[in-house]
Amino acid sequence: MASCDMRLFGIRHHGSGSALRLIAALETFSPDALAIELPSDAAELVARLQITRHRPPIAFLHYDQDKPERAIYLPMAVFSPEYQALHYAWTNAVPVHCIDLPAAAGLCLSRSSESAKVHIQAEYAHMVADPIGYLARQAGYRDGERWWESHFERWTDHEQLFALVCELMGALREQTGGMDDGETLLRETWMRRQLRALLASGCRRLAVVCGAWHAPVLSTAQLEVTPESPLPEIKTCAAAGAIIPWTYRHIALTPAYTAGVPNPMWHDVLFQHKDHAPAAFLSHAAQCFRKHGHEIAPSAVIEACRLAEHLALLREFPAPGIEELLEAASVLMPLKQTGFDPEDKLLYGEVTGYVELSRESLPFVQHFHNRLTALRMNRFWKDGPPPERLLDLREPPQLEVSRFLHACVVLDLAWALPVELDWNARGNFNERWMFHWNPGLEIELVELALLGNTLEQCCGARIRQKIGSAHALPDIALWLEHSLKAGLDELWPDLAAALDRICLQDHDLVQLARMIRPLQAILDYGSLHGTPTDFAARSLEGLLSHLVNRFSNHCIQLSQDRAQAMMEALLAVQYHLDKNGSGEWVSLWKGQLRSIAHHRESHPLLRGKCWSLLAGLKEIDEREFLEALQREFAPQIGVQQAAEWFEGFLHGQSPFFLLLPDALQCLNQWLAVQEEEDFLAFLPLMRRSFAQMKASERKRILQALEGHRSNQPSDWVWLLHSERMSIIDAGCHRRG
Amino acid sequence: MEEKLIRVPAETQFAAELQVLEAEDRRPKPGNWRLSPWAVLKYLTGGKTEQGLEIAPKYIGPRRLLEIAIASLLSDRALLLTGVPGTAKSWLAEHLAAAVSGHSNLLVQGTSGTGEDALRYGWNYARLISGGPSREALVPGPVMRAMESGQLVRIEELTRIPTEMQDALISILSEKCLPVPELELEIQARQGFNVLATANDQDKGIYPMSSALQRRFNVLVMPLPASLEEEINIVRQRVQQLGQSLHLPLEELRQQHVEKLLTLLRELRNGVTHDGKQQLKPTRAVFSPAETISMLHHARIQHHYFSDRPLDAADLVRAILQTFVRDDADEREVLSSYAESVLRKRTAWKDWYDAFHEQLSVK
Repeated sequence: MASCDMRLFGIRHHGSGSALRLIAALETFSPDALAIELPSDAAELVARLQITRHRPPIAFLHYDQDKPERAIYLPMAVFSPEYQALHYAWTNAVPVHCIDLPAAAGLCLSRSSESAKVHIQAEYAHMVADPIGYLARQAGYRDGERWWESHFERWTDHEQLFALVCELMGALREQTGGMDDGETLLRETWMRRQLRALLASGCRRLAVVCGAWHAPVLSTAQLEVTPESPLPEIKTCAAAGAIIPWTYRHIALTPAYTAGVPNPMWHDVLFQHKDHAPAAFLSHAAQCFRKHGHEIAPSAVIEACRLAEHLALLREFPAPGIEELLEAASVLMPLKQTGFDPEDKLLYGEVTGYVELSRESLPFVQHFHNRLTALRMNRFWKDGPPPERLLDLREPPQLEVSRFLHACVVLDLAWALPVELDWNARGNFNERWMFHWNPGLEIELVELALLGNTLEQCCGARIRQKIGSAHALPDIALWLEHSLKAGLDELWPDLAAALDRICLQDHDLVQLARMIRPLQAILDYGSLHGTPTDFAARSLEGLLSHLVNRFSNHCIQLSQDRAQAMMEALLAVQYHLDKNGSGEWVSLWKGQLRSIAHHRESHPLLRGKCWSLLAGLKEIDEREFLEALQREFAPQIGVQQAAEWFEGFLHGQSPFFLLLPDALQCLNQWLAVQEEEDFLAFLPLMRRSFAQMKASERKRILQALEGHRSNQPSDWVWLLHSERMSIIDAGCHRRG
Repeated sequence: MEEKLIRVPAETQFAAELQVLEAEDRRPKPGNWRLSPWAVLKYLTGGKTEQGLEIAPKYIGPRRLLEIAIASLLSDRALLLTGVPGTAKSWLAEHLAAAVSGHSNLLVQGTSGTGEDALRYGWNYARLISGGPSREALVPGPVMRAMESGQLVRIEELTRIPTEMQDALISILSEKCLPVPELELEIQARQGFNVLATANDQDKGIYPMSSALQRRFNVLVMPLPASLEEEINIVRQRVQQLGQSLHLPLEELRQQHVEKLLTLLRELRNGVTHDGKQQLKPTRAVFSPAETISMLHHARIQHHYFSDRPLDAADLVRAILQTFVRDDADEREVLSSYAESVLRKRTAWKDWYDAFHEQLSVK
């Protein structure tokens, strides 16, 4: 043990400054063995990574085979010191030893260490997670790298640098008085053990790369002083490992990942370009914006560089940091409002790593295939399968299949498509699915594996992604439907909240009315299958209150197309209230209909429809109706308006009220007053409306008219006319 | 007898501060600047000098905005402050000019009638006709004077100047020289010359800047106050100052009234209640700080002359309706639905709700 020279290199995870210094230090030191703070069972992954074609950022994934959602991720970017250490080892054929606690144990610990955490104060927790960041914040810097740069980058003697870092960390640890997270202490004990074993194995020069926080307790002095303490009983589980591509976005500092850095792209640029990093970063920013359609001139980049330098001067920094660069970019590369967040793109980039993968290694893919086998759907997952499958949802196994397929739809996996999903049919227990398999689906599965380890996790992640960018109501209705049918109840609160939010912003009543049927169908489906759906009930209530309270306001001064659309909406609400309306809504709705019917400015189409609805609901009597008719067909009313009123009135209803003698009289009078051209223009419009009626109803009108024949001057015209009409009627009768 | 001016220019009002800062300033100053950039920053953000003089903060907002403004003036690019009306653009421009150049009186007010005389030079026609073109017949405009003396020139409402006139600035900004073809000479700008422009982005009838001109400006968007405390601070300070200048014994605004008023306006502006739980219908008005300040000032004066009760919620509500709503039916509807859906539930706001209800129902 005395003959071995062991050097400790305490690094900051994902710190580009640490990485650069580490490379230089390793090259000077030329170790013949390298110990890295990676779980012991990652050794196999390291070996695999060396021979797999890959491009960082990547991550080591360790997961519990029985419960894939329990997993540990160890990301590495090109600027991560661990990755650079591995790279050095591969290039110089130095054996790598992973000395941290195996993941099999770590996975079991991560659940039980919740209780251990209460023993540390919050401040110390930050200190332990990112000691360099902690020191930076104490010195008043927002970013650890900035502090590192201004204090350590100029250092040329690497030995002294790492020794100094170790001393600093030692001082910090003294402050906490040895009190620490139970898990950390356990890991350090394990690491000491591993190091002792390595030293005893007879290497000459051992380089140890570990997080800076652990450096003080792993020094040679410490190893000699601390006795070999017995390790407590550690539970392990059956863990498997995989290498997966990772993204810069996931290396960012979040409450979930406290070892992250706040601005990965900047570290990347710092690592690649060192002194020219500000210019490189701003060029990258310009490129990024140009890709999204903004034209940034090269002069803007130059000026941004100069502005950043002036800002750094004003703030008394030796060189511009990420804050100065971002501010300079926002001032000199002004973007029109596009809804794309420039800071987001610049900090995280759109960088995803790449790993040549084999299918067996990913937990999600395995999970998916296990499900396929369990549900006996494997024959649909290959080329040329049977194209369709009919499911009867009353059978539990088929209900399971339906749930699975709906989950696939939520994930946008273009494999199974529901056919003829009939909104109208309540209590329909059948579903039809069509399948299209293609080899690209395997790759899609691998991409989905990034979202989670099980089907449910992926669905949740995907829906949350979509909600963030969704603006259209019909989309949300669709996801509500599919996620209900997939049995993903935990997504309901998010979707319902998104729905409520959009309902509030969206004033388009037509869109809102289109949501009624889907929501009602969901409620019915839920009650059939015993799924709790009070979210849908609440959303439906909200929708109805929007619609019923304001409908009449939106019927005024509409264009023709818009009126047709509002007619649709009106019918939808009416249909819904007929079937499921409670007294309160129905009376409010009748009030709305009445106000539309009486309003001078409302569109004649809607007015006519309201009158016929009110007549059908027996809300009005004959006298009122006749008054209205006289107003509608007063001599000065134009043909177009009258025709539209008629169309609305006759839409889908029987013209009972028109058969009143006074009504017909009124119409007659109005017709008589019209000019010839107007009359000719009126005819096709009338024909369209009357064509919707049944033949028997037309006959009744004719009879009623004939009853008035005595008032008409030319009887023979009428005879001719009634003959023709009977021929036409007979013809229609045969057809219809 | 000293004449009482309505509004004293910044360099006179804060002459004492500027003097002390200049005396203590030991850091390098760019050519022709009265103070070094760090001293300018201190003047704007406030603080204590070595002598113990308290410098009042001139701009209450993010510090980095001021840093970017000063850094822009250091470079050879001009500075353009834009934003919603009422976010202290002209205020900041005036103080920047006072701190950097020592005076803020080189000013071009942009209107659609602004001609080349203001941006370049004019002629003394009597001299011109009698003696022909000469240096004495030339009447320099503010921009030319700034170039010759190495000072900052302010251009207010740049986008109200017709585009053809705006383009006169392009060669001035890129080559820093103003050719006078009639005299066959060129006026070169001395160090310290720069242009500080302000522009509103909400007005109708503005002339968009050509892209060539836009390229020569650093554009800084002035934000609305981020937090309630900031806004209260700004409004109180300015209303106080305005009230003092009138020399009337105006009644003091109670803190709780100001707080409630600003909370109300912020909620309407942001479209969501301050606890974030309830969404509101959006309004057209922006309720910027400047509008709020002048509204409060007006309310105080009106109350002083025409009311004998203490200043209360009803007066403030009336002022809101007069200033922001006038007779716009949509805005009335928005405010009334806000009163019904939000204010009604808040027991501490009962007098406000009553005032709204009463004043909005009178159609």
